[in-house]
Amino acid sequence: MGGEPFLRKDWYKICQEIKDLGMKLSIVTNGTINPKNVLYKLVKLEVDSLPVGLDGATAKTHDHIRGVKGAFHKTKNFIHLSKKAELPIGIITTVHKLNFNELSAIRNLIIDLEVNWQIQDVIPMGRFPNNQALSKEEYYSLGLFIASTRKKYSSKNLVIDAPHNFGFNSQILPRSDLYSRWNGCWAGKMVLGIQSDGGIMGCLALPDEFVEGNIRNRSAIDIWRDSNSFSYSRKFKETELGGNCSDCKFRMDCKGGCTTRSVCFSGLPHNDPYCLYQIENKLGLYRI
Amino acid sequence: MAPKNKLYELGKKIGLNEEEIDEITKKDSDMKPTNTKKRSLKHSPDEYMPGTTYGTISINEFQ
Repeated sequence: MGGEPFLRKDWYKICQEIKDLGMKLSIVTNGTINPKNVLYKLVKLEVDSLPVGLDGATAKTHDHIRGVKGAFHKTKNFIHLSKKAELPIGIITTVHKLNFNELSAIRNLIIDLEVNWQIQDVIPMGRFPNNQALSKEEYYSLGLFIASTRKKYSSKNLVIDAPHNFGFNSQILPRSDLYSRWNGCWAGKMVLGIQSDGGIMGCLALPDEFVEGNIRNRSAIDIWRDSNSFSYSRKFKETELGGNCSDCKFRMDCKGGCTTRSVCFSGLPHNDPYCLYQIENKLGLYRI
Repeated sequence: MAPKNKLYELGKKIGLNEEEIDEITKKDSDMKPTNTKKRSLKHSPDEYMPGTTYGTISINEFQ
């Protein structure tokens, strides 16, 4: 559950329903709610995952990004109290130009918490301005930071995870997620998401134009089994590759990278410009 | 600029020193996904990764 689930008066009822259905319950929150009102309920629910957004190492940065004065201290307090309550807390940091230089400081802030830290690059959509997204070189630097932090810190102290769509086919850096290789976008193949209004998408990160139907009118399983659904992903054709990817030797396996990032940056679904392999080629980088 | 220096430059931008860059980019450095003791290469409810948005559903679970 994302957005900000605790804004809903019926959040507990929805969570209970998810657990009753035997599904894993993950709640992504900004951690600004009064912990006294929710933590005992989360313990009772046996929530499976509780990621909290932390965007800066200081109140100045975090509050500026969040647009709420005092958010940093509330979030920090929520994280510490959740940890104390032995909830499966984690940290999510979305990286862009405003916090790119604070990653080391954020790491220092959370190093002793023994949590998972999910580091992800921003994809400009909604109100997020394109010019605050990372440049390709900054994106590569972020890849170096993730790889270095993983080398330096044991999994006991700080488990670093990056999204499955972080970089493709690097010849220098190890994969930064759970998987040994990237083999194309998962949307509509391995994952499916339901929006708050019932819209069904192959991936909830995609823009609204990728809604396949609505669960209020048609069952999720019908949409999933429809051979015409998720065609951008399931019926990928080489001819759909954009100029960033059409000559790449990994093109048939990679299929043009992350659909969401590709659409948001290039307007095309198979043309992701944020590719570690491409960046290495362009900068002439290889293993030292 | 030589590849090594360019890697140092990219690392420096995000606060990494030359030794840290050497450690991850040297030829014999492990290319496998690192730091995976608590994690798995495949989805499984028993191997769910708390605190992240990953490991949530697999196609087999959905079908």
